[in-house]
Amino acid sequence: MKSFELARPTSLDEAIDLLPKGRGPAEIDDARPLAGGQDILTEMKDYLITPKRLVDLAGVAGLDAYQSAPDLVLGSLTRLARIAADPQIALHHRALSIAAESVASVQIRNQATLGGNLCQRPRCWYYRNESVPCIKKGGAECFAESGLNKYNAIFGGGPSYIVHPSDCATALVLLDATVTKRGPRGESRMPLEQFFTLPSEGSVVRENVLKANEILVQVEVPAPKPGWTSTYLKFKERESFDFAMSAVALSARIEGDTIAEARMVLGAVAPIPWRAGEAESFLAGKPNTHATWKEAAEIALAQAEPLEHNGYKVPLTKGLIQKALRELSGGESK
Amino acid sequence: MPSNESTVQFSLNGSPASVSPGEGESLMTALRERCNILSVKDGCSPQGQCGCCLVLMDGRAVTSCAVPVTKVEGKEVITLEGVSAEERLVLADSFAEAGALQCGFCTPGLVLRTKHLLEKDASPDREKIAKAIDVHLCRCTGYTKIIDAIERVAYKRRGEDLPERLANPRNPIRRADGTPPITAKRGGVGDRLDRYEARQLALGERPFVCDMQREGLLAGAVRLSDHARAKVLSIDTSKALAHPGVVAVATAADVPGARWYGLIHLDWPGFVAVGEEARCVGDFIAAVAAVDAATAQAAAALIEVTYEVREPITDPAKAIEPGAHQVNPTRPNAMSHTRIRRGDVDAAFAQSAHVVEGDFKTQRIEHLFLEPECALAEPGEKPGTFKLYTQGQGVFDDRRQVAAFLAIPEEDLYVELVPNGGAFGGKEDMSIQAHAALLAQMTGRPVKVLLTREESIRVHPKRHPISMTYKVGCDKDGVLTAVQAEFLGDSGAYASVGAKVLERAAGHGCGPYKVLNVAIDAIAATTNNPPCGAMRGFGANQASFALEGCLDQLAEKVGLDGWKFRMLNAVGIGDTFASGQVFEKSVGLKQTLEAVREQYYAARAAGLAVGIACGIKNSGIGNGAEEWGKARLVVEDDGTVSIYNGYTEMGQGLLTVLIQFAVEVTGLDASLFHPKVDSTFALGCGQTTGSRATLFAGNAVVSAAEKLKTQLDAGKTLANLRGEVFAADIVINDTTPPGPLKPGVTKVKTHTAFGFATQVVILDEQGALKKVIAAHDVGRAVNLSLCEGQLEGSVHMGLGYALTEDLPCEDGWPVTYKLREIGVLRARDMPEVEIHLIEDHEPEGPFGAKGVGEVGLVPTAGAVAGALFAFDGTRHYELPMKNSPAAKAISVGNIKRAKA
Ligand SMILES: Cc1cc2nc3c(=O)[nH]c(=O)nc-3n(C[C@H](O)[C@H](O)[C@H](O)COP(=O)(O)OP(=O)(O)OC[C@H]3O[C@@H](n4cnc5c(N)ncnc54)[C@H](O)[C@@H]3O)c2cc1C
Ligand code: FES
Ligand code: FES
Repeated sequence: MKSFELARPTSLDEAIDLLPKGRGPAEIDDARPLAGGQDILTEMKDYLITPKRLVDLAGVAGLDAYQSAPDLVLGSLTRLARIAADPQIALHHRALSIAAESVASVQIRNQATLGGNLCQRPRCWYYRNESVPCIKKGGAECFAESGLNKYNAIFGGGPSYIVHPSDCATALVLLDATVTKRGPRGESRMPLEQFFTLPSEGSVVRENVLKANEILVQVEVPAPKPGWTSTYLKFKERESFDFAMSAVALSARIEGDTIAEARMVLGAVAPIPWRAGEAESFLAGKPNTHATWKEAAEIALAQAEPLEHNGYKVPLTKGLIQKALRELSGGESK
Repeated sequence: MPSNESTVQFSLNGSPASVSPGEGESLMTALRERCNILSVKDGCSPQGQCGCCLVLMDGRAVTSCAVPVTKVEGKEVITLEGVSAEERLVLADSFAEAGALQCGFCTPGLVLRTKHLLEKDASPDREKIAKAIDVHLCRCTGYTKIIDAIERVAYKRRGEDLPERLANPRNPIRRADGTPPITAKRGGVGDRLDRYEARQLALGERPFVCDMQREGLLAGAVRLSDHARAKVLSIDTSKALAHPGVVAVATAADVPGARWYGLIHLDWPGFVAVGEEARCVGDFIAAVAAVDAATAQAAAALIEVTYEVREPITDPAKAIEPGAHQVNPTRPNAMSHTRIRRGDVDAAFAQSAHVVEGDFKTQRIEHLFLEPECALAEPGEKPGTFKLYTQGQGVFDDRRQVAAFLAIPEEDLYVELVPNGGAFGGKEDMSIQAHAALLAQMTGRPVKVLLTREESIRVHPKRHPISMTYKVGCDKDGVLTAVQAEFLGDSGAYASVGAKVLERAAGHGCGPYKVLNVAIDAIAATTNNPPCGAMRGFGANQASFALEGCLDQLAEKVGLDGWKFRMLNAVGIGDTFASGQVFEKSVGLKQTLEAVREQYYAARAAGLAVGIACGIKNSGIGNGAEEWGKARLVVEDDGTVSIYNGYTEMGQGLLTVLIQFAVEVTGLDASLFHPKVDSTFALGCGQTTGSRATLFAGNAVVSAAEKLKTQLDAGKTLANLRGEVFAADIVINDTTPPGPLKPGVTKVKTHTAFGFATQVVILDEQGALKKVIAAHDVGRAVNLSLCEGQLEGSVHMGLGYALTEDLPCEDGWPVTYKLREIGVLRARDMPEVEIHLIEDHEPEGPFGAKGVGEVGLVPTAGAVAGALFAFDGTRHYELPMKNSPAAKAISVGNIKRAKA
């Protein structure tokens, strides 16, 4: 790892001041925020980035908010372990609880923060190889598009085909979270869904709207509307801790034999948490049957564009969707 | 050099550096052209897909061709030149000792990678190393020995002893006659002598043509045709000439001599003239000499060419239909027709118990040697004379063709071979040699012309796609009865050696099997596709894939396994080759089958999918050609001995084995010998092709060395012999052309010698490549390490050919130029390769040796196809077999289709 300066500001404005001035995404050696270090230090060890300075957020006031469910407020420094252990969250925002619990190992969850989890960088093998001049690193092409793309996107790809690795992001988009960020021009709030950007929309070298000198302050999750329940299903290649190969975050209000309303976000299939809007509309008011689940799964995946090696994600995700619907229905359809 | 105002400052190998780069200049270009850093090589810029240009930038290993130099402002850049002397020694020694380099073009990048990798991880396992070198492409080695070398460095850095497998690699040799392997004398035949100049190559210190510098050197660039077929109506060079920094622009109108050249037919124009038709996308319209490469390229783009665009002929079958447009004015589209007839196939089929038929198709592939074509020409000391530095496979062919192009006598053109960064057949034809020479003639200055990767792919001939219709029969016991086959090869726009490739395919149409009734026809067709010519295997690979596919089916019908079926039909002494030649000596095929037997059955018993195939490849062109081996041993003033020969070093190790022959004969130390290939002596031998260089140059060196030895035995010392030249010219003119014998000739002998092989391919439970066992009869392994390296590299190329390599063309245009898409396997894609060498003494070869360069990939595709059938029951009739689990497990070869 290249040597760097460790700055320890105590206020948000001080921290922002220590970050690069430009309006664009961070360059390879620009200063960056440091939270739990679980991702950024690996990036530095692998020389993917060589920041001259890390701005440690640990001592920054205002990032440690914590208001438990049902109206959740989570400061960006909130440890994933705390989210996973909070019984109120498990009760009211089950999808988030499961998602947080599913991240990595207990050691990592004790260290990793929610802000870091949402801002972590992609795991694409080519991106993670320092010498591959891939488009995510400012190069000319996405090597995964025609190369080893088993873990890459089936939705929303191009010109980069990464998938967003965060479990919490998928769950929080499902739960209609709002995010607060702060930069030199002050604070702003936005739905978390709009925080993430496709490579074709924002800048291909980043995954969200944050500028190099903006800091994610906190995430708020509204109390669930009456009758809604949620779940999160994650499929991993290895039994032990691993990133998702596919994940489904699902919430629904089921009334008797009918699915009154549902919301569905797919994880690890697109460069952003992928909202399955058509499946949601389809489900509204449908009888809660196997046939409905199956059709919803078909609809959710209808537009998938798998690459050479990730076609498996299509049936896998369909299966997860049906499983999630069954789970929210209390096991079996009526 | 033109540059913009701003300068970029950075630290280069610990010293401050400052450059004023041109627009969009890469770090690689700045390092090579402005900072004289030549360990950084250009294999594919700006793709970032070969790793030859690797540098460390602030501790990060980056492909410098993909980094704009402006991004290094204030950063620290380290290249191999900046690595400590101590470390360089360990790195270079380890690569040399492990035999980890062949042409050496990819090596400096890998050497720097090794340092970087081991600093991060002191003891990576082989799998980790393979993944870590994924950015690097090596076309020669098959990676096994590169990984060995990296492991060696790791052990040394940790101060540990090498494990036995690295310190004393297993000896893969079995003598065919059952005698124990011959113990080699130090540096002599059979030793693992380090490759000649290995250490310099590993560190990037041995210049390739592209690295050569000259006072006042101009850079050349070419303008290629914009269409696969179009009549050139006008060429306007005025804008290019007016471009600042341009010194000369050449077109057909500037060629003083013979504008058309070619190895066999003079059918290839160095430039297409106004009024003529451009026949493929690699045709030359003009060439520019300018102060630097960027200027020359910019000027070449400014040349205005108007065309009358015509429909290209791209289907070989349509090209040979009567009435089709004649692509090349010098000859009909059906360029050649080889016919082989023995016995009576119809009668034989009628009596056969089993007959199978199939239509097979193989693809066009790119050689993808890592060093693109480059030539440097300069005026000689005497007015009107020139020197040409080339990386071609035949310096004397280059000399003949370029002298005629310039209209100067051959004596006035001195040609020197600079050992190249890979060729594999793709550098037999002329590429830019004549253009460099002409620009030197026009400007009176040294000119270096270097093709970009894309231009290289457009220009040089490829491996022939061949459609093959096969019919093969056997009796109820499985004994082959007859082979009938028709081949149609797409030779592209120019003859090159295409007719010979089809002739060789036909000649190898029965493989190394006993077949009494044979009817084979092979046609080479001319089209507007990129030309096809020589490539390692030279037609034998295509035929082998089809034939082995038929054999697998027959074996199944008879109820024999693949091994037994092949053993039953394998040729031995006294049997006949497809051409009618009777094998009289050195036929180690059955021993190669024996060598793989145990593992073949063990893998089957373990429930794995296994494929097997045998191969044969001629060594020496033969077929009636007169061939030469020529050598001069010159005792120099400093007491060393120069070895001159007429063949080319292209990574295969020729120069090293020639030293070993000289050592074996004279008993002198290997360090005293220095091989040279230039036109000092008239040693014209033609192309380094047909696995013949070791055979013929070797015989010549042995004979010349014997003369030297006689003097030494008579009490003379090298000091006494200063200035003496020991010469040997050996002619081989006893081969016969295919077809009926000439009156008076009674014995068919189409080739001097043959190499034989059996390969077994084993797949894992998922159908991915697991292991390849390659058993080869090499006559004598002159250099064990080089010999293994040749075979490992061949298997690598053969697996790519079988599964992922392809260069499809649409309307005469290659659809991709990207290295990964072209499908050459990366280290992580390679299965374990186990080599077995059979030594069945070849009496016509030096110390019993024969060529090994090509046969190594002849059987591979067939064996892979067999394994795939065993895996999932799919018979494959077409290469590459991309639609197979084995191909899908490979990280490369997926061609991105342009989005609609
Ligand atoms: C072995 C392993 C397994 C893992 N498995 C999973 C998994 O299954 N699922 C999953 O979701 N994740 C997984 N991760 C990723 C892990 O969850 C994240 O690395 C972690 O949550 C990051 O949090 P952190 O606080 O350590 O962030 P850091 O590493 O400190 O920061 C990560 C990035 O976010 C930026 N950043 C951090 N905080 C802020 C902020 N407040 N404002 C702006 N930018 C900020 C940093 O600059 C940096 O770029 C795994 C990681 C490892 C090492
Ligand atoms: S030349 Fe830079 S990677 Fe090939
Ligand atoms: S030695 Fe690697 S490309 Fe030749």
